[in-house]
Amino acid sequence: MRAYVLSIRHSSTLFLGILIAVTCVSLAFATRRDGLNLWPDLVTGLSQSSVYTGVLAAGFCAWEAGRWVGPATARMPGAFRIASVARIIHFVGVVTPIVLGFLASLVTLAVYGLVTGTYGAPSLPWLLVLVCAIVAASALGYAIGVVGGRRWYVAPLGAVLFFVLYVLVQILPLPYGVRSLYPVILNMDSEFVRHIETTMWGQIAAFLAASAALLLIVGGGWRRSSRKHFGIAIVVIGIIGIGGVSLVQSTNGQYVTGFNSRDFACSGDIPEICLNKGYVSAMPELARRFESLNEKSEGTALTATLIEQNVEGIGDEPSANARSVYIEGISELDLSFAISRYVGKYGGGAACNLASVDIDQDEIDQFFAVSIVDTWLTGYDAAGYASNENSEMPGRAQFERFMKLTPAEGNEWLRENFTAYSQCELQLTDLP
Amino acid sequence: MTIPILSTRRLSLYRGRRCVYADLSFSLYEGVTVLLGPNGAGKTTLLDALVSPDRVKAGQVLLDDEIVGGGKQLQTFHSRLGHMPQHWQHFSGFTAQESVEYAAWLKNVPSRGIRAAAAEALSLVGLAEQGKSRVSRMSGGMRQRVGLAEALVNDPKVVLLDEPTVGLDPAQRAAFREALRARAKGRAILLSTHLTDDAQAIADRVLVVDKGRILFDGPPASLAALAVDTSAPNPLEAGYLALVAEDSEAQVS
Repeated sequence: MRAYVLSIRHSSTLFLGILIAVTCVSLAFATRRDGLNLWPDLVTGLSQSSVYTGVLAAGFCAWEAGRWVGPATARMPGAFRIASVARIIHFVGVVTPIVLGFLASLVTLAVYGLVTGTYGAPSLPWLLVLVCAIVAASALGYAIGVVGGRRWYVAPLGAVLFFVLYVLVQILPLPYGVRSLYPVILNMDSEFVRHIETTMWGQIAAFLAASAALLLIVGGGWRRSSRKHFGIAIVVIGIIGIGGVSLVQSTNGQYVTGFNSRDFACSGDIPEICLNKGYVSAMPELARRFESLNEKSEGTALTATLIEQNVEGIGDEPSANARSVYIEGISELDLSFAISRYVGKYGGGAACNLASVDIDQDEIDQFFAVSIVDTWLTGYDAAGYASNENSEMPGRAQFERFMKLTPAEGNEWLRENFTAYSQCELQLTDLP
Repeated sequence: MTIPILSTRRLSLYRGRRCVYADLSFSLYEGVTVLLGPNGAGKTTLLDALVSPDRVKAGQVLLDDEIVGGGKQLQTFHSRLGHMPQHWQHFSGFTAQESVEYAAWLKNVPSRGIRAAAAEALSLVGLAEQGKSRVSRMSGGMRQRVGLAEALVNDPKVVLLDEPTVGLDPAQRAAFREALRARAKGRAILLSTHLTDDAQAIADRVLVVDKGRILFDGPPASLAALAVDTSAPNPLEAGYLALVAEDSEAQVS
């Protein structure tokens, strides 16, 4: 215990702990989306901070190990304690302030969440993954420090090597599951989420096994006096590590996916809009946009009556009489995109298929004709007419004429042509 | 008959493939034994072997007449051993008290007694007032005494010191020797040095080693008596030089 306390007291990671807390909280706040107050956004920030905190942890731990290893090694030959134990205790002492810094950021965010009524909750296994990722980065730096000793370049080497390893994992043609091992790769801990905990436990096992293996190797456990125990430990760690990576690989590295929690707040009559409680601030503007859509599509099957917020992927199953809308954010662009996705899903766009190899001019015309109608309905210019004013895009003249229609004029035309529109059989010449 | 505290039996030591000592046997008893020898004679090799008997390829090290093996036996041996390596280094930022406390932990001093043991060890080497001072800010002599306090913190039966007075000025050496002399009772202290005045000042017994053999084993006065030049200011050094010279001549002839 005394050695542990001394390791903490003289560790520069006390300062690093504060730095990590500040980094995590800053990035968590920076990742919030305007108008929304969601735990998943805060967690996304925490996940993204892993790379920065990992670089810091690797550098500081390399420095700490480098300045400790000389005096400690000189004392080991006549010591009762074995070298591995001494090193592991020192490492734990060095890494404690780092972990505490991360935990401090969690406490800060939790208090913030309680005070401001932040919607949702973080996944505990995922937070554990983030802690283990920092520990693994620290272990890497520590191992470099033990090998490099007290030299000026050891700390930068630890930090740079960590970052280079991270970049290599991202750019090499590795299986996706392996590339996703480090937390930041999938930073979309989005809207309301269901975590695939198998992946997380796999990551936890992999990070802890990597840390333990690094510490054992640099701890001198391979020496003759403790070779047998070292061998057993390495085998056990190897099994845990390979098991962890295999789990991550088997789930293709996915740990977050869309999930409709159906924790709704509903508002309005026609359309009645049900949004996840974290998104209620989007309600007025979304209602206005749906009312505008309904005005234009009145009398057709496109008219929205009951809307439930959803995300794509698992859980995209609105109630029997409801339709879903996917919202990424609540900015002007996000909401017009949300309406566009609704129209794309329930309007004519769903019937247009440009994925086949043999596309003829008719199909291209049909696609642009439907796009023009969709743009008029939603205000979202998916085909990009507005941004390509000088280009020779098919249907430009029709686009400009269509956009000048009043809601009543457009609605009258849509009622007459809805069948062709909804089956993607509309021609550019059908447009007014 | 006095039972030796530490002894070696037919010890063969190697540095790489070169045999430094072959079949070396000697014993250490209560008091200060000074290990003298020219540079490169193998003093550090011998001390390293005594500190780590598990790495010895041939021969045995015995504590209280019991062979020191590996595993628990080795750990027990280390808990009764005090050691100050040749290149003693301090931990960055540690105070004297903390440095000795860490050594106490390494030596398995019970947690509850670590602070008291460290304070006592510092007191024994005359640093009771400097416990809260950072070792990095101490003079060379004071640092060496912190190293000695570390070697004594577990109240060891055997203390092995490898050239602990190198680099100290005369006053610092005197203070170090005084601290060492005060702790000689009830334990065997082996001090490796090439400074004969260390031996003159504190040795109960002198071992002179060179070329893999013990050239002399006896009290300092007997080594001094070997001196050819009786007018030398340090009779022990004169005796030591005569002994080494005689051995070299014998090797040549």
